[in-house]
Amino acid sequence: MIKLKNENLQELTEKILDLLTLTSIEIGHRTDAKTLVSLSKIFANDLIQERRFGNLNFLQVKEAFRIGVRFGKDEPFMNIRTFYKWIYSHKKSIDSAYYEVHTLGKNPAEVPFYQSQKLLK
Amino acid sequence: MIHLLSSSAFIICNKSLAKKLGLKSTILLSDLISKHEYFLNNNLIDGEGYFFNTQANIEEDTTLTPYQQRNAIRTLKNEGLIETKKIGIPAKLHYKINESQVIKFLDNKKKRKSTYINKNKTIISNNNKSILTRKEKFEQIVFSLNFGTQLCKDFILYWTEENKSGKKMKFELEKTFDIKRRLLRWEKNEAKWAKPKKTSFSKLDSQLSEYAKAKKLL
Repeated sequence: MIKLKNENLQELTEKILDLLTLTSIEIGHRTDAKTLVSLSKIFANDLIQERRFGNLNFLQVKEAFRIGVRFGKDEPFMNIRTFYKWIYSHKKSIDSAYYEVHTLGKNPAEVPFYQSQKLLK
Repeated sequence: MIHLLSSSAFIICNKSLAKKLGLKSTILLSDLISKHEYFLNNNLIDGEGYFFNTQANIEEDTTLTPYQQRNAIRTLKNEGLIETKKIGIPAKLHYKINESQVIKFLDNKKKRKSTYINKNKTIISNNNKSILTRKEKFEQIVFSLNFGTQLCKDFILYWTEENKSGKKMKFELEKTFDIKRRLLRWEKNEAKWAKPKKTSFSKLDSQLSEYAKAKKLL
């Protein structure tokens, strides 16, 4: 799976557009085309540029959104700040899973969101 | 006993007068008129046309108490049918019948009543007949004004709606109604009324259409 830092901006923007449209429907908002395009472009650019998300892949971003929409503490909004919150929260879960497996010695199969590679080196 | 069947044994009063003046006043008036005739036949009427009658006499003839008599006299005087004045010592109440006024009053009454009845009849009969004729006339005028047939039909259907009693149509109940102007306004409004109603899209549809637009924008 390609890491976000290695993604092509155009391809990622398209993928993000799909994801944002899905999220908008899930939230129950009605986001217009221009806003969707703007958000996708900004967010895709952010994901590539931000070092803290560089080792994540798009599937993990998707998962972050899925969990964020369903279990997020705050009221969901279609803005970059909310997306960041969701991804950051998911990233923490992944880090925590890594910690549980490698430090606490738990069975990797039993730990959700575990990935062999540490996100922050 | 046979005198019981004579006309003097009965109180005769005019119904139409009684309706207007009240029964007691009418009875008093008819009694006064009969007294007037009596005085006239016996040449006892003075030059001004006054004759006297006493309360007791009137009470005996009409069974009206003095109080009822006073009320009745007041009514008759107000209507201008009689005039009264006290003459002599001791004073006696003298009466004068205003014949012309009585005749006028009766005539008016008759005319009013007859016209009222006739009007009623004519109105009913006319309305029953003429609501159709009026409607036809209205239709003719509407169709003669060179507007669209469907528009005219709708216009007629709307404005010829009858009221509850079925005597008048909607357009007749309007304060002002100029058919041509109303039709022009109707034609103007047609465009407004004919506007297609917004078909409601579901949220999902609108979001998907926005997605398609966004795809193009990308």
